[in-house]
Amino acid sequence: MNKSIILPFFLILFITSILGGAIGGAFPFGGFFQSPIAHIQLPGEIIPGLGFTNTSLTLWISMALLLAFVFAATRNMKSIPNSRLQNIAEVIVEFFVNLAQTISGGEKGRRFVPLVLSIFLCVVVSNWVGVLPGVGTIGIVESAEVVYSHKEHKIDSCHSSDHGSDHGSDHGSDHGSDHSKEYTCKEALKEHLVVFNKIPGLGISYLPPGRGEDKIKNGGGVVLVEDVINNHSKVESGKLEGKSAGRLLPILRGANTDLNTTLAIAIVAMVAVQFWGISALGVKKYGGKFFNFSSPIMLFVGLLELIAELARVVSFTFRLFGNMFAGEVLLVAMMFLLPFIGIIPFMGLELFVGVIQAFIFSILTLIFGITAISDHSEH
Amino acid sequence: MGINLPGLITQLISFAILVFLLTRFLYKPVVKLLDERAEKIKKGLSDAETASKGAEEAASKIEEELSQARLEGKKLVEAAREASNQLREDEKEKIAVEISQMMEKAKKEINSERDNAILELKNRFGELVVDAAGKVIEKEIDEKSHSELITKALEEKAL
Repeated sequence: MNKSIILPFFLILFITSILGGAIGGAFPFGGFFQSPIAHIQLPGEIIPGLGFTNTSLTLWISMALLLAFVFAATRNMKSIPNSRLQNIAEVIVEFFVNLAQTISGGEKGRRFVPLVLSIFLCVVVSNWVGVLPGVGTIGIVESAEVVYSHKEHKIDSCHSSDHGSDHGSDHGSDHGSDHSKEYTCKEALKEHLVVFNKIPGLGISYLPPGRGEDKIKNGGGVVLVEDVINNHSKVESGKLEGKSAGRLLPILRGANTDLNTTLAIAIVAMVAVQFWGISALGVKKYGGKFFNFSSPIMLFVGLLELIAELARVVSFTFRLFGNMFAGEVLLVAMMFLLPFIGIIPFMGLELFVGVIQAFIFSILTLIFGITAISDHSEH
Repeated sequence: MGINLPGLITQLISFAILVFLLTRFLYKPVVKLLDERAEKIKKGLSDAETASKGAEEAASKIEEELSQARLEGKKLVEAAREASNQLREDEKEKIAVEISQMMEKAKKEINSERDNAILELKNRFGELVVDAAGKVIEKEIDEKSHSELITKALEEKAL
């Protein structure tokens, strides 16, 4: 293929992508790739039957991949390297060792490297795994009843109403089969469900392209919870034949789109920073940064330092979470608007953001650590 | 927001284990290797430096020895030349002395030969004179007058 063909080729692909997505859905001929926009949920979803969240599972898979790489790279190391994996591992480690030594000004910077390196690798690998195809798009279809009870559980007005008391305790397990219960919560009944096609005999459903954000009776791919539960037979029966309406619960979801993950890493980082500070300066001297009773001004400054230290945990947590969650939402939105082709630059962007955020997290840990071990009273 | 204690503790433990494993299996071996390599390179460089310094020293030493040897050689040649000159001088002197000795000897011999010849001639001449005188006077003179005559003739002759 020569150069004069490549540009028009991609232009045609791009136009196809635009026409096939939600924008093209406004035209009678377009929208052949479109699908209802995926449901976006802030907390990680617990995978039914496993008891842990999909974000935990992704984190463990990322860790397993990372450790597999590490074992392969360092299993048979030679002084004159003959494997590329060893070269990569050396480059990464050497980069952080040099960085730590440059910033801290000497050998003492080395104590920070194990944690800083771990944070970088863990975050970057889990971020990248989050961009992989299949993450966020393959999962279990939750039934209309389950979606209803989740939503009902969250809304106080529904929860405390006539039958709230008998649902607060046994949430989750038996809602799918609980046909005797009444569905009265208005907000929960208005939740959107997506219509999937079933592959007969396999128990697998899939989302066919071409159905948009419209209701199923208008040729779209969306149905409301109330249509499925209360008026199942009346309104949509013919349309839902051989299909299943529900909501996708992804098996895998980017580990850092869950606040628990980012908070856990932030806590480890800041606890390590305190540990470094105490071990370098001693409890009395390091504590003196925060609790200084020599003058009212110093007391106030110390208090500010203490608050700043706590704020660092929060800023660590939300910086990474915010970036990665926003990235996920961006990809979902772009998949909705520009399916197949148009999304590719945004995946590249997410890979870049994944590295940058991992680097920021690790470098800030390093800098906080160096600040903690430096003695302010000497200046 | 989704923060819950079980989830948080799960992730905390997972991450702590990961940090431990990465430190044990990535950081430590790689840093050890890098340090060893840096040490090796440093040692290699210093070895090379010592070697080049040694070579330089050796070269300068050789140069020095060479110049010394050259100097010595020059001296030797000089000495040899002097010695040969001396030898020639001595030989010349010796030969001169020999020649003069030989000349002396020859002179002496010539002198003695000449004396002998003179003596013989004196003797023969006396006889000749006697013969001649006898013939002249035709008479035998006695022995006494004979020798008187000879002596007289010789004295006249010598004078």
